[in-house]
Amino acid sequence: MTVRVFVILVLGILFAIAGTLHATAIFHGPPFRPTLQLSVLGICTLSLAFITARMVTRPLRGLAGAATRLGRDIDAAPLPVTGPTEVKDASMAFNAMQRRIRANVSERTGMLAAITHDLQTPVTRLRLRVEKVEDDDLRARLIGDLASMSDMIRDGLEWARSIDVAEPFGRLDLDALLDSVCSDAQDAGHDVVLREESAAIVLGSVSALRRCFTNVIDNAVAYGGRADVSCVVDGARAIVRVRDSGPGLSDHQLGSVFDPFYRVEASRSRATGGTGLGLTITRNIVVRHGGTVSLRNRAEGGLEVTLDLPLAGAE
Amino acid sequence: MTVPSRILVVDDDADIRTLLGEYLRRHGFQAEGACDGASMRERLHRAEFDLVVLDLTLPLEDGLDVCRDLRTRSDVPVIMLTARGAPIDRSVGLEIGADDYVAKPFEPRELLARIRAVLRRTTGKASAVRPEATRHIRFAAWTFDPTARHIVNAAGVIVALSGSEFRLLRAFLEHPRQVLSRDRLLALTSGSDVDAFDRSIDLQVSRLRQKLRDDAKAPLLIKTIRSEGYMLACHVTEPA
Repeated sequence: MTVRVFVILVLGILFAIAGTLHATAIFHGPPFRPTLQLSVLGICTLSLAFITARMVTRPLRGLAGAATRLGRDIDAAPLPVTGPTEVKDASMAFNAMQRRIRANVSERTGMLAAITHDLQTPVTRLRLRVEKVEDDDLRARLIGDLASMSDMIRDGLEWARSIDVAEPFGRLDLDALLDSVCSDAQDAGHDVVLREESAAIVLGSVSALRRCFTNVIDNAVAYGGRADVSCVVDGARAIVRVRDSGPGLSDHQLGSVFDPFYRVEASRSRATGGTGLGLTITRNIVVRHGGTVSLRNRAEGGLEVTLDLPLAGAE
Repeated sequence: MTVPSRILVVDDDADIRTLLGEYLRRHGFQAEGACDGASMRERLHRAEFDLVVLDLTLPLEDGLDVCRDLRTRSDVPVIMLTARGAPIDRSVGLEIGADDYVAKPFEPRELLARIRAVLRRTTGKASAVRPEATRHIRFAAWTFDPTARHIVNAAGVIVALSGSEFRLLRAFLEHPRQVLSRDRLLALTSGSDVDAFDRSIDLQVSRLRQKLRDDAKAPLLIKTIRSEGYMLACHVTEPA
């Protein structure tokens, strides 16, 4: 800031000198060459224009950057209100908009959390009552229905939390985390393998990332029969790939699977079911950790989910 | 189970109290109900119970306060019933002395399995300090947090554990410097996962050694005691 003020001062003095020289030339006849005066004046004007333009556009670039950040993180810090009046107004309007969006989001997730939370007691009662049903077949069906309701309650709350709650981050051994998720899946009788050790350390919440990888691996097992998990370090990022041996997804499905409550048609059977929130929760968690998640069909067949996360200390 | 264990169900919802009581009685327990903290204290004063199932959201008192208060006067094991989506409550609940935690809506069989697992872990340990109910535990260069399924190394890096690794490590930490046979370890670790198929104890131990960076050929932490079983060989402390 002070540098800029200094430059403007120097330019102002140069302007004054140029003006004085010009005036001297007019009143006292020759010998000064007008081309020199003009070029000094020209350079000064250009520099001043350039600096002014930069002063005005810098906050605008800040605004553009803030808009991009807001797309990723609703809780990003508000913009500093500085610069020319118009830019200040724009920054204030932007900050107000961010507050309103945040209020809207938390109202929506709060409502979802409240409804699912309040459903827990009646569903618990219902589940205990069902134990008294004598008809074995009916009881089994009722238990199945209640299990789906419990899944919806669980995923609804997980979703709300993935948007709203910032859990404390710690330094995590990514290999150990993937190993624990894969071991749990293996213990549940699933065909899951973990290849390659990355020695990656990432900043994150263990419980959130555990949920995130569990979702992806469970999907691979449910729709693709198996999960082949690998983890490598590429530059300042850890890249986790989860491959399955299923039919993959159509282009339309690839574009929609991250949408809340979107379910791949074939999955609406009772066996695989699902609430359609798993991948939405996964993406929210990954984005909170500064990462990305993408899906693609492999040429050899099967779906590949790629999650990348920044390594700790890489900033 | 010759004498049925006595369970006290503390929940403000009368229906849940009754239904759960009936369910537990059908499965060989004696069960009674209490609707709040005061009534729970009164029941505990009048009779011995082997375990308390305590709802976290009681009307007049906070379930956490009830549990904390109970801990100051009794060692009766506690299983917390609480709402899902409250990870903070979970860790706080376990830190102030609950022995386990089941989220509503729960599968009744799951609660049953947890009750049996807690009774198995706690019976015969009398009034000894139960490490599972306390704060972080230190062993070798590691810190074990019983409320979260992970351990932390000397550099502060969090190493996640699988469910079976967690249960096995907990069993070792509850019995430091004691030789545990494979059968005993199996009994201590066959926890709440009703349908999980169990890996052999040997395989579980070798996986846990890997997580602890304990050399399988010359293990320093979990030693193999020939023809007897395994032993956690290091010192275990609970920082104040």
